[in-house]
Amino acid sequence: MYLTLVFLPLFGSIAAGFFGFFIGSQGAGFITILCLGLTFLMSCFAFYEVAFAGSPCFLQIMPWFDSELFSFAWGFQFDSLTAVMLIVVTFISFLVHLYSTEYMSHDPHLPRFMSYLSLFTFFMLILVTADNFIQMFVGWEGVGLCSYLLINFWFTRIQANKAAIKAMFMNRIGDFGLALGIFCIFVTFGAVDYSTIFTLAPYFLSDTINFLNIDFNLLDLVGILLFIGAVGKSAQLGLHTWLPDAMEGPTPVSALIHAATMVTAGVFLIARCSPLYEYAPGALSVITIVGAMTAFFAASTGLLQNDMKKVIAYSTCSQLGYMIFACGLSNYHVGVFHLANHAFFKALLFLGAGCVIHAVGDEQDMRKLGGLSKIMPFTYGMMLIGSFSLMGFPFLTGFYSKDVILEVAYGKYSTSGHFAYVLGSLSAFLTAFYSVRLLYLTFLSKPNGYRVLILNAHEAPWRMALPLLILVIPSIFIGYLTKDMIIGLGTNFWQGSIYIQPKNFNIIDAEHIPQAAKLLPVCLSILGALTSFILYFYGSQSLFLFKTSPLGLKFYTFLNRKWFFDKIYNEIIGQFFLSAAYNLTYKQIDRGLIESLGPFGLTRLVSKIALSLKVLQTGFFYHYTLAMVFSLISFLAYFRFENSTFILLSDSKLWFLFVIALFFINTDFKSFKN
Amino acid sequence: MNFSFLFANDIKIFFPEIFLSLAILIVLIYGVLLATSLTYNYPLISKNIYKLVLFILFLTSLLTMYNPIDYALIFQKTFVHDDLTRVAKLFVLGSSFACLLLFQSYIENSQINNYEYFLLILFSIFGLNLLVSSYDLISAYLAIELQALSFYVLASFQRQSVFSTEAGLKYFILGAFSSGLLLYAFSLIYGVTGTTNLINIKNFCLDPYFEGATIIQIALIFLIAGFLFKIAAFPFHMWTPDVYEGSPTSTTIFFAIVPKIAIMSFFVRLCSFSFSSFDGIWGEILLFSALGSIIYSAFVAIKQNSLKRLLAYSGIGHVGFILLPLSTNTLDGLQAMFFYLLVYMITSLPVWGLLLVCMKGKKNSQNSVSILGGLPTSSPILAILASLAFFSLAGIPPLVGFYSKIFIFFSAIKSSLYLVAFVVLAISVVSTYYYISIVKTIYFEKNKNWIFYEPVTKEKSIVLAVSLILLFFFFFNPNLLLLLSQQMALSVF
Repeated sequence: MYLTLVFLPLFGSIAAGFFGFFIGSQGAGFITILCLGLTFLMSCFAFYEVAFAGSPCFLQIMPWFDSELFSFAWGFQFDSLTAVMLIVVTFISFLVHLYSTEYMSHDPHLPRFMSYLSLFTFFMLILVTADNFIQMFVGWEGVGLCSYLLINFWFTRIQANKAAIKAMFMNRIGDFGLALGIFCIFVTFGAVDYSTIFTLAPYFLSDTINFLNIDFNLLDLVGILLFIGAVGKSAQLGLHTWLPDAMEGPTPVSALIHAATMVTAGVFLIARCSPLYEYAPGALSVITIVGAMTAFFAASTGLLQNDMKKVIAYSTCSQLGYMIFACGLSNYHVGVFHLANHAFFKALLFLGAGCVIHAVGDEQDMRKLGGLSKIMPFTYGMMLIGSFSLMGFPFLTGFYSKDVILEVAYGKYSTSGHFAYVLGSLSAFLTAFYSVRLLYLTFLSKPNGYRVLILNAHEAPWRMALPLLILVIPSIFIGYLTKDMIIGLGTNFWQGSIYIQPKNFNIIDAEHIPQAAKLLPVCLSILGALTSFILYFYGSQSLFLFKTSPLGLKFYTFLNRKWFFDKIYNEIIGQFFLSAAYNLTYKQIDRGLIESLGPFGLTRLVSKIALSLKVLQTGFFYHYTLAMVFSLISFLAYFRFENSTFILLSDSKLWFLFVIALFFINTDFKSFKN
Repeated sequence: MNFSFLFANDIKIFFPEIFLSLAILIVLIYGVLLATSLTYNYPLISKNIYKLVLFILFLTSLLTMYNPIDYALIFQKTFVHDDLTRVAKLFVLGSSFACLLLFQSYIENSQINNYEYFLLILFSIFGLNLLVSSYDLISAYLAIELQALSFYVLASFQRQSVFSTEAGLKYFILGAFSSGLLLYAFSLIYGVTGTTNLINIKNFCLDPYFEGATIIQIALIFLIAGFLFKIAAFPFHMWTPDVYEGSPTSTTIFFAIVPKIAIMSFFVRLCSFSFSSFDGIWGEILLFSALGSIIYSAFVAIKQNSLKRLLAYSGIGHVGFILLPLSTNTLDGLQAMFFYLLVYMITSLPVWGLLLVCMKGKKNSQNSVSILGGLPTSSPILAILASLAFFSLAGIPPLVGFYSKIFIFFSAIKSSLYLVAFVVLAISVVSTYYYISIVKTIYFEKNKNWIFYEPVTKEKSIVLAVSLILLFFFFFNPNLLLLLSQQMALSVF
């Protein structure tokens, strides 16, 4: 069962991808949905067996690399952490598959789309079930590839191409860090499988490793390098720019990949490596700070975005920041809890946004929407629940995890903890603000769209509505239902799949922080929601005045342009590298030095030599006889005077010099231009 | 020693050659009588003779294969019989058999109706077989002359073609010159040692008080020059392209494939056995010649348009590869050399066979590389065969040519010839370039007009297919060739 649940999506993908022509759109949809449904069912059983019944499962399939010191196997491990991820991934993926068949029904390439989605699910399952870093890396790269393919699904759109390349690019930087981390691990631990590394981690506590000529603490360095991978994949501050742009892809893709599953791979990675991170306090504080900054930055940027999906994307980014800094505070289980909760309500939000976009003819600009609550009340309700869950409204799913995160941040009583707490609380305010802003602009304000579009707008068909309906249940209840099981005090749910050092374990301390600190986030988020509501409902005139005032304009531009990250990246870093790459490495080295010493120079040299040698073949036999006699006499002379003058000719180094000299004689640079 | 007893055994061992010579004579008489017979109206009997020759070759190889004795020196140490001679003879006979199958239709089409053509081939095979088993300078010289004289005639067999006569004349004059060199070397050796027997020469050379070392050195240089001419190696190679191009293609094929192994096996015996103690001299010359052949052929072949000339140069390059391991004078080297020789013979069959298929019968001029361009459309299987054969020549796995090259490199590296190995490796890139450019011509060059090839006869197709299968088979299971080459190498010492 365990293997089947991993490989069924691959089967679906192959069936839809390679045989989509034969089975058609409906067939492809049916097969992939069937496979995913079965996978989800099996995941439920696996969850029961692994998490509830407490019997983790470890499978070693076959050796992959078996080369002396470097050997590892294709292995799968199903522990509680994997089980949680399995449920989340397969559940959302199943619903998104179902949703896509309707959302993309007009697209002639539906089989390809379904194939990519299933392939993505397969790689995600490989990622979460791997029992070693290399196999995890396979999944990691695989989901990156699928993300690229899906963002670029409508490959005729230049924006989609750009976004896809950007996503690939940013992820590549992260992957580079991750790969370096894995190399470091292999170099020091001599193994790449989790069990060995995590068992040995405490023994390397004070080891140092020389990296870039600086001695680092080994575990800190490994932790930070792995975290760079997570930064790329989970869109943390610095490498986050791809995530909003990835919204160019079809909306189901955004829901599945860029909200619920792939982007949480970084969080998963950190949680998976908790036994490593627990001995790397330096790495942990870096993670906390970056996570908190991401949470705040993304929330503030989301405040003034006009594209509906970008608002949700920034909210995803911000929530990822929460998860990451929860992990950075050694509360991996809280981070994973938030991951699961967030997956449900964020998928709900995205799918709801998809319904809206579907209804109004692919219009995503919120300024051109409005008044849709009358036309599509169901979608409005779903979005409302999703948004409230996201902003942490009391007793909805988001509340349970988000509040705990902020409480443990305060309860850490450390600088980074307080830093995270303050930024997280502010982000909570901002989150509420932009969530309500989104709801207001899309559903509640007066219709601002084109008449035709509004007239043609319609409620979501059942295949799109059903996933929303299913998702709304966990969005409301799952936090309440599973809180005690997953992050409750003394729960044995995780069974050692997450390790927290006793001195870092502070969920008890979080219970005893001041009441005001506990209440602050909730109050802030409610306040944010109210402020937003009141401002937009009654004060839109003053908002406009503020926006057009000089200061307000600067503020607006700053946030709307995403703190100018893209500008800096493109104009300073990107431009520098482009020009350096073109002028120096490409023009000078690649096309210059290497070409003239390499292909061009060699071919010219060879044909010149060939021509000059060809002349020797005159066709006159007395020339041939002369050559024979001459070589005979040379041989005789050589051996006669072997020990004196001719010794120079037999020195091999001289011959080598001669060959090199040939290059410089025959290389005529002027004629390259022709 | 009982004279008659000794004689009886010798005849038993020498029976294949005796049979071959008698058969030649009988066929000759048969041909003379029949072809000039007025009663039968001067019949054309070349097809008849062709079949007889095939039969004779078959019987001779059977006799050679089932020779009852493994090792013997016979006829007063004039001839030797061991594993080397047995395998080399079998390969000479087998490859001639295959060649005959390949070019029979060509001969028919180009109207070489004289039955003597086959007889001359038979004579040259006889000479080669004698050369393989020679253990004495005189017998070797006679054998060489026998095959060379036959070759001269074979080269100029198309009397009406200017190219053919020119080729024959060039070959004859230059060949006579090289025979002179050989003879001079032999006379010097005889003059110093007073013997022409290989083992006696070896004993002289090993003697620390031997005073004729200087003369032997000079003789050795002449000797090597003569032999390098015979196998078309670098400074003495110049006749090859002209003769190969001018001769009738059937003769060219025969020249390219058959004689190398015979000449090399006697040459190896001479170098590694008799003059083993002088390997400082011949090793160095051979190394120079090998490197020269490889480099020269690689560069010149690039600029060739004529397929025949190109293959001739490629043959020179292969001779370089054959000489390279010999110059190390080690068992590994010899084994690599024999392995390379055997593989070269197998690989040459489809390559030259292809040329036969593609060439227009009478017009020698029409053999530029571009005629291969029509292959994929008119005969896709032949196109695949051609490209695989050229890949094997270039040494690309999974074809046995890969092994034969790699063993050469191994033997060079084992003898610490690192620079040589590196240079040869680098030059291999160039030679691979022109092999692959042929494949490119076959598959990727558009032909303006249709090219018609002669239909492939059944015999030809069998030879081509079998040799191609062998190319694959020996890649996955090279043990047979390895064992054979090791046997051959071992019996030199």
